[in-house]
Amino acid sequence: MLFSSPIFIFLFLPVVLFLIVISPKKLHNFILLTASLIFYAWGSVSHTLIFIFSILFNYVFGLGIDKASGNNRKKILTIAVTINLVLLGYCKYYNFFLDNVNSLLSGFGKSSIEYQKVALPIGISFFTFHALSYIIDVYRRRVSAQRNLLDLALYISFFPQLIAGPIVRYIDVATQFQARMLNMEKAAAGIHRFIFGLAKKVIIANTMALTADQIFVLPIAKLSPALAWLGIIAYTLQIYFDFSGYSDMALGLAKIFGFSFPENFNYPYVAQSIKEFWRRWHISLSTWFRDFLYIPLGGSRGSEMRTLLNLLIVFFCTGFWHGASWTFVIWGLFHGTFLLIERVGLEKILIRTWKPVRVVYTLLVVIVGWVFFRIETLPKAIDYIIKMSFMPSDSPAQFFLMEYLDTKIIAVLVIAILYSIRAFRNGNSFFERALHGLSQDALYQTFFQTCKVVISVVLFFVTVSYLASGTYNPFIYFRF
Amino acid sequence: MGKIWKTILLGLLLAILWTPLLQRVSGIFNEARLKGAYIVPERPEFSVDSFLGGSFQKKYEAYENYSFGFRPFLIKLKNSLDFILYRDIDNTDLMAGKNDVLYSRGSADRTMWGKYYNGREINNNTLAKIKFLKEKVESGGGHLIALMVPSKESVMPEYLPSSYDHAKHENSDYEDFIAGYEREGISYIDLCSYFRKLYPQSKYPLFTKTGFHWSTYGASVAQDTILKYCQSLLTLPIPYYERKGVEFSDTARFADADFEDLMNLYFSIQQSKYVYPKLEIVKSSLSNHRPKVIIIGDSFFWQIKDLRKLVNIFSDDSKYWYYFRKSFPLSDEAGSDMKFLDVVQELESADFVILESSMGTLGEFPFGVTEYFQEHFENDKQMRSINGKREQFNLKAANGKFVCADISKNNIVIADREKAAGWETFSILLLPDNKCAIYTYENKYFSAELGGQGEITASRYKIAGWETFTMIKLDSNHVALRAANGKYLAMDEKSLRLFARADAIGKNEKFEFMQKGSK
Repeated sequence: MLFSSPIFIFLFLPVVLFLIVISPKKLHNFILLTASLIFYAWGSVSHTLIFIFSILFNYVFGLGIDKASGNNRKKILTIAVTINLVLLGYCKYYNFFLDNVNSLLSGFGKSSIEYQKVALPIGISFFTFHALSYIIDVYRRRVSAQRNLLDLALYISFFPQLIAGPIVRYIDVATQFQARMLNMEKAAAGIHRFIFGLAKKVIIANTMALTADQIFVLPIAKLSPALAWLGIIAYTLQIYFDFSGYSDMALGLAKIFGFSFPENFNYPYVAQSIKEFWRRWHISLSTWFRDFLYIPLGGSRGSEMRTLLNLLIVFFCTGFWHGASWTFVIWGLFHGTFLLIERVGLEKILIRTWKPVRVVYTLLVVIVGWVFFRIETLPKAIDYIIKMSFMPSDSPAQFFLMEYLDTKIIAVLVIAILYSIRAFRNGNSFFERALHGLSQDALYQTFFQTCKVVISVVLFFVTVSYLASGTYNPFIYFRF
Repeated sequence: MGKIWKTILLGLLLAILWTPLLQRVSGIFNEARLKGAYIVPERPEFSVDSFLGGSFQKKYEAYENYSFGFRPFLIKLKNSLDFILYRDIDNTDLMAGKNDVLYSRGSADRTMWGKYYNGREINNNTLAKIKFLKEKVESGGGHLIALMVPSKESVMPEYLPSSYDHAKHENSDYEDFIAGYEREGISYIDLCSYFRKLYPQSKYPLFTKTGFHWSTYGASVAQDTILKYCQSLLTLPIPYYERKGVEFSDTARFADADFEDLMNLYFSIQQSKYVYPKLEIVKSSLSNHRPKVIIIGDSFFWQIKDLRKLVNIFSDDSKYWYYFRKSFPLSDEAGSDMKFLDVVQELESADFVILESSMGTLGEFPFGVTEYFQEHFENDKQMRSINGKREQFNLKAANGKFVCADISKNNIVIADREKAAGWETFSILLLPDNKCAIYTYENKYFSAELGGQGEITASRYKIAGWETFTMIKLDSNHVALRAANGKYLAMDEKSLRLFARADAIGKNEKFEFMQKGSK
C-alpha cells in the first residue's frame, strides 16, 4: 500500500485517524500497531511472519543485553547482530550471491547451481536497520531496553517509516511512545507536511519519471547528448522528489499521530562537496552508517590510510544496502572515491573556489553517479556517460531533446529545479520576514495562516486529482 | 490570530482527509459519470486464500482506485488544469493542435511522418488478396469498392502542432494503396483527395474541432459520394434522399465531440455551433431496387450509419462488419458475432462489397476479411463460419489457469483464468514447414512482439513472421510453443503473461493442450 495510493489516502488513513480521534490515549499505541501490521500484511502476508519474528527476536535480545553484564553482553549482541544480518543477507542477497556464483561456474565451464529464488520481504532493509540501531544502543547503554513489547513492536513496525524510512533511531523516539502530545495544531502541521510530500511525489517525481522512463528505454547510441542530459536530469529530480516526498509524507504522518521524526533531507542539490551532499541526502541512512559502522571501524581516529579505508568500506556498504546489484556497489564506491579525493586535498581547493563552482562540481558527480544507479549494467552506464560527454559518435542521433520537451515538462522541470536550489524556501522566509516586519498585528497573522491552509487545501485537491487520473507508479525506494 | 478561526482552519485541514470517504459512504453529492470507455473492476470477494496469496489486495486496490469519493470530480479537475496550463491531454493518443483543434497522435504520425508504414511488400500482398476477393465478388455479379477515408490531419493539417510543420515522408500506405488500386483495376473512391479539394470551399466543417472522425456533415458528404458511385454501377435506380438544409446545435451529437468527451473537461472547447444536415428520403423512391451491401470497415462508417438513411436505400440483409469483428445491420438493431455468419456466402451474394479504411487504420486494413475469404474459399469451402470445423482447444499453463487472450487489456495473453470460455478458446491454422498460427475468438492471431520484450499478444489480423509458431508435442496432452525467434513461450510467474524468451522447456514452458473438438 503506497502512501500515494487512493486506498491509503481515502480509506486507510482516514479510518486510522478516526479511530485515534475517538479512542482514549491509552489505546493509541495498540491502534497504531494493529494498523501498522495490517499495512504490512496488506503488501505481503507471507512475509509478515518474518517481520513478527524480527520484532520478537529483537525484543528478547534487547532485554537479554540489558540484563547481562560483562562479556555476556557482547556475546548476546554479536548473536543478535549476526541473526539480523543473516536474515537481511538471506532475504536480500541470496539470489545475487548465487547468480554470481553461477556466472563464475559457467565461466569455468561448470554447470550452474539450481536454486529457488527468494522473494524480498518489503522494507526488510529498513526494519532490520531499525532493530539493529535499537539493540546496539541498548548494548552501548545509551538507552534502556524497552520492556513493553507493544511499544517496541510499534517502533519497528510504525507504518509511516516501515517500508521506505526514514531510519529512525530508537534513541530519538524512545520517550515518545508514552509521552507524546497529540493535538490539533500538531496534526494540522503533520497534514501540511503530508500534503506537501504527496505533491512532491505525485506532481513532480511522477512527471519526471515519465520523461526519464521515456528516454532510458531508448537505445543509448541513438540519443543526442542533450537528450541524454535531459534523461539523467529528469531522473536526478525524480529520485530526489520521490524519496524526499516520501520522507515528507512519513514525517507528516508521524506528526499527525504525535511523533517527531528527524529530518531525512536538507536540500542535497545545493551541497558544495560530496561530503556535504551526504550530510543532506538520506540523512538517516548516512547517520546510521556513521554511528554503527564508520565509528566502530575506527572512524578517523586511526592513520589517514585507515580512515580512507573505513570510508570506502562504508560507501561499499551504502551502495550494497541500496540493492543486490554491482551497479549499486559501483555507485557507492563512486561516491566513496570522490569523498576520498576531497579528503586528500580537493576539499582544500574547493574551499578557495567560487561557491557556484563548488555546487556545480558536486552536482556533476552526483548526476553521473545516478547513471550507475539507474542503468542496470556497467557497460551501458559507461556508454550513457560517454553520450553525455558530447563526444563524437559513429552512429547518428535519432532522438532529440525537443521531441521530449513540452510545456508541462518544462514547467515541472523549472519548479523542481527552483525548489531544489531552495528558491522557494528563501522566498517563503522573505515573505514571512516581510509580514513580520510589517506588523505583529493579529490580522496579518490570520491572513498568513489562512493563506497556508488554503494553499494546503488547494494543493491537496490538485495532487489527489493527479493521483486519481494517474497510473500505478511505485516509489523507487521500495526496492530497498 | 483568533483561536476560533485557527481551530476552524485546522479543522478544515483535518476534514479534507475525510471528505472522499464521507462522499463515498453517504453519496451526498450526485457525481456525473466520466465519459469514455473504461472497465470498472468488480469488488472482490474476500477469502482467506485470496488474502494470503495477495490476490485479494491487488483486486481490492484496483477496485478502490475506481471507487473513492469525488473521483470523477478530481479527474475532471486535473484534466481541466492540465489543459488550461499546458494544453496537455491525459491520453497518449490525443493532442491539441493550434487553436485547440484535437488530433490523434498515432494517425497524425502515420499520415504526416509516414510512421508505422506497412511496407510495400505487405501492401502489395494485401492488394493481391483484395483483388482475389474482387474477382470472386464480380464473378457472382457484385462489385467490390475500396473506400479510402481521410484522416483529420490530411484534410486540415494547418492546425497540427508546430512539431508537424516540417513533416515529410517518403512512403505511405495511402499512396501505395491508391497506386495499387489503379494498377490492379480495383474500383475505389478516394475521399481523401475529394475532401482536401472540398475543404477550402465547404460551407460547413467536414471535421469538427473536437472530434476524431469526420463531422456528421462530413459523413453526409461521404454518403452522397458513395451512393452516387454505387448508382453509377447499377442500371436500376436505387432509393435516394433530398437535403433539406441543416440544423445548428450547441451540443455535439453522435461522435462529433468524441475526442473532447474522452478529455472529461469542465468546459467546452468548441466555440462554433455543430452542424447537422437534414436528409429526407424521397418516399416515391422507396420502391426502387435496394441492393445488398456488405461494408467492412472501421469506426468512420458508424457516422454514415448513424445518419439512418442507408437502412432505406440498401436491402435489409445488408451488413456492416465493424473491423470484421462484429456484424451490424444497417438498422439500429444490435450486432451479432461474426462466427454466426457464413462469411463467404455473404460476400458472394452481395451486390456491393465496400472495403472501407481511414488513413489511420491502414495498418490493419482490410481487417482480416481477405485472408479469411481466401483461406476458406480456396482450402475448405465447407468451412463457412470463422471457427467452424477448425480444431478448437484451450491451453492450461503451469499454474493450473487457462491461457486467455484478453482484449480488455490491450490484447495481452495471460494465464489467469479459472474457466475456459470464448477468450480462452483458440484454433490452429497449419502453415508450411511445420509452423502454425494461433487464431483467437476475436479473430486475431497470436503474435510474439519480437520488437519489444517478446510478449505474446493476440493483436494481429495478418500472419507474418511474428505470428508463426512451432508446436512441439511433449506428451499425450502437453505441448510447448516456439516463436519465430527460436525461444519458447513461457508463463512469467509474476505477471502470468506469456513471453517468447525461454531457451529451454521447463515447468512454465509446458502447456496442457485441451482439445475441444470440432464445432
